[in-house]
Amino acid sequence: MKRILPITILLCLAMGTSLRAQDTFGMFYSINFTTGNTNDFISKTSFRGFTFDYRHHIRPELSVGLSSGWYAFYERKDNDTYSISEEQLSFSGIQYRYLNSAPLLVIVDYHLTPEELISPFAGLGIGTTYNRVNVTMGLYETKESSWHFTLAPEIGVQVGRGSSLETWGFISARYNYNFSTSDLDTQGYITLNIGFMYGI
Amino acid sequence: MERNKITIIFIGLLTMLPGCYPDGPDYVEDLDLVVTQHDTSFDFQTLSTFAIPDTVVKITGNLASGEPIEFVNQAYATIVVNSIRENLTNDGWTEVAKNANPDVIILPSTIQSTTTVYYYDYGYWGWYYPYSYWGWYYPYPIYGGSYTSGSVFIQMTYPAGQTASDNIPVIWTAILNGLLEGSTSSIQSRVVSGINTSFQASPYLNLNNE
Repeated sequence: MKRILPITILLCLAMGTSLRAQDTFGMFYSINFTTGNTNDFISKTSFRGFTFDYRHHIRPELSVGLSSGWYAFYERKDNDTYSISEEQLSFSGIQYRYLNSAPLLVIVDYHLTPEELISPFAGLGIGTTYNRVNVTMGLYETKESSWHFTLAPEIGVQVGRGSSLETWGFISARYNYNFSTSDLDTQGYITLNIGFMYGI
Repeated sequence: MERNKITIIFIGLLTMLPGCYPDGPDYVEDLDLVVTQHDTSFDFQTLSTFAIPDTVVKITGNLASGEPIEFVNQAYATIVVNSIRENLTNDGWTEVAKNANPDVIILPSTIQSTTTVYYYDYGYWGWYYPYSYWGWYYPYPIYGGSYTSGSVFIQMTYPAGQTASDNIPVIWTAILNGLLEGSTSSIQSRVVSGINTSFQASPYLNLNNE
């Protein structure tokens, strides 16, 4: 984490110096589907999330940018018994599980047909994700949080970019893979982003 | 113009954030918790008899020597004791008198505490006093209310070979914790349900499994 954050901030500053007409800003509603460990913890799809993207086109087909967002996962687990310490201790009750996830990524995208009305793209996000896990059981709550190193491949389509419109549609699927840390296991989820992009 | 539009949408999204926060418990019983602990090296299948008092001790703090012990209202105590008795009997245990050398002695007790909650909500002072834009400068505590939580402890002690000066080993403990809110009958029903759960979570106590 100590290394990731300064690099991310430096890249932010570097890109913020030249806002041009090819720059875009995107705001998306995000639906998230958990995978792997995260799915074992919360299997329900999250409909609470949003993503902000900023992209700067170095060339029409190549863009670099920043992406961030906030995704809230939640699941109520029905009354059940959980054993720990080699079954010496058991806890029975309803569990309320929460995961709040906020990625901060540098994104590089390749746009296949940047001048066309329908412009598919593929890219990769590299950066960090802040994850906070809360489990409430009875009147008690446990909290764990961590900054993860994150890789996030993404594919998507921009609709209307090649036209004279200032606003165009955007849909993408991004797989957020958060590497394990000393505090939290590997976390993963697929983000479906739907929204608009603006030329700035 | 375009930037203004983005700013408005951005602020709009931010103000919607609190509404996006996921749900939590709705009912008092959703907060009920049952914890059990047992000595994993102990073979419960070698046991068969138990004794239990008809009363339930009320823990009120550190008891000085000679001070009288307080007991829970007998109506509650009877429900707790009968529920424990029923579960043990269903699990194949036999109740005997306390002086008939029971294999284990069950000791039920309770404790209750009240927690006062303070919170500050911008809605109380925000936006109109003393100036429309000053509201959030005052982290002024607003009394939110209080809740009373209670716990029932069930301890299974193993008195064999112990003298009066020894600490009697506790081989199984169950703790039921929850809010003491709602009608008497609903609290009683939740306590019984909690006791049942504590035995379901402790299959090693079932002597019928042998």
